[in-house]
Amino acid sequence: MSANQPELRVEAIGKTFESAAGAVQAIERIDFDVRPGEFISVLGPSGCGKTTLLRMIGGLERPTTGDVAIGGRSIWTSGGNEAVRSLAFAFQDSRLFPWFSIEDNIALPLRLRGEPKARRLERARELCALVGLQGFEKARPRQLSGGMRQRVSLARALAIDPRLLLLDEPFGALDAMTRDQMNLELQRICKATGATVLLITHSISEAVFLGDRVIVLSPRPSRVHSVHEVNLPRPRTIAMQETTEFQQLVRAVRTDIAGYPA
Amino acid sequence: MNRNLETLLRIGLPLATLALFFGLWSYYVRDATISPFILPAPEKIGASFLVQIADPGVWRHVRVTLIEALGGFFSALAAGVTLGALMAKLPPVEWAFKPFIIALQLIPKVALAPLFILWFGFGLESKIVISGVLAFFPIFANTLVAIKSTDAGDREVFASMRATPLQSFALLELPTALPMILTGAEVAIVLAIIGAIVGEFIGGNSGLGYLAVLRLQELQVDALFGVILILALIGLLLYGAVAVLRRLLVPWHQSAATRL
Repeated sequence: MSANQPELRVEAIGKTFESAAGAVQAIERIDFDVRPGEFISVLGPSGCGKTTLLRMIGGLERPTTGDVAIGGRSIWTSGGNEAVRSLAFAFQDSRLFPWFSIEDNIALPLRLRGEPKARRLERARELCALVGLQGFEKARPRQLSGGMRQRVSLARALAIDPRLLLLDEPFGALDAMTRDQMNLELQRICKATGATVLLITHSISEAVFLGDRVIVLSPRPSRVHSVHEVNLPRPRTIAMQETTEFQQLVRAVRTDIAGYPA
Repeated sequence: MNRNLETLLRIGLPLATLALFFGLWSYYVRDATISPFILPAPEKIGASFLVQIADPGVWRHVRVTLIEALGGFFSALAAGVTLGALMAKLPPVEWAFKPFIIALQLIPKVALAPLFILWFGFGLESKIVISGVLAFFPIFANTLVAIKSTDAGDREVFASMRATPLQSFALLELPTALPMILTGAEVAIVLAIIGAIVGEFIGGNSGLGYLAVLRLQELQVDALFGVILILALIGLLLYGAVAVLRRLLVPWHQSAATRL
């Protein structure tokens, strides 16, 4: 793999939904490249097709036009299986399954791939430690708080050691304090795994805090409206949010979005 | 202290109600002009019940009724879950068969019992069929609806992990549906017992339903009440077994935490 090859290439991707009322164009055309290990935040007004974009990148929804490639391997035009197996999702709701213990929830993706039980559980223990849930391996999802369940959800996404992690507002349902805490944790975990991350969020400060770049989408039919480089040093701290540099970036992004009705 | 009092009342009051009920009954049949052939005194029924459960001949009938009801129940469970799941996963199968299953449900199935005796004879088989036909529908209907109503977000998680259809069924849809299937089973076990008894009423020479008819013809009313009591206890036992099954199979679900 050459150093110039993007880890993720989103190329002229577009989506039109056919419905009884006629065709609705959700995404006009989106192009962007992501470098290996980069953290990209995607922002946009609600209804602009952020989730649809993520689903197309993740191989869950076929784009009407264009293609997605991970590490040079296309998802939609040829085969795709190999590329799709190297990515993982985490969703807004933790979506843990109450009939599995925490370790079985985390190891579920490996079970689906036919990994032997001993290996699965060893990996689940590792990941419990990584996301700060040692000692909760045998617990049930309902015994955990909302923040802890999101940690499990993140650990489950990491089980297959994905090269690309797709996060659909993973902390959107959490309270503000837990959310700050989880963002710090997410930063640490992403650094530890070295995965490339694409995060969809509604929060401008979250997008700036976590991202190497912030991509702002326009309203439907959406395009890339602007891209903001975030050159703040890492690891980032909560205190950094008070700096002029951070505030200026947030303001710049907000100005981009403010042009659109919510 | 207050909680102790509440516990005491919660146990004591229903027992007092029961004692009052039997006391009034006993008093009523002693002084009224009511014939013991119509309503025997509760103590006579109790005595007859004890005599009957000590009789190995009665236990033979208990065994027959249990085999029929459980045979019917487990056949209904196997058929109901299989057909329900099949129709939930393969819409054309549902389109092809569901109208007829609904139509069959609308027939009072007890009316089919004589027909089953004609086709399957006077032995155990015909009663198992009647029992199974009665117990089938609640299990089938609950399985079908429960599997179909699996949460779309949960399906998305399995899709994002590239689960095969079989994996999604075994690890997502079946566990999701299990609490509702067990609710169907709770209804079905009661219907299965009814089916077995109805079959025994109509034909054959064994089972508690047959014994009840026999006691009636012999005008042994206290013994008839005893048979009814045995049947009630069997019903309670089997229903309790399904409730225990719920605790074992779906300990994660809210329904397992609710008391009987």
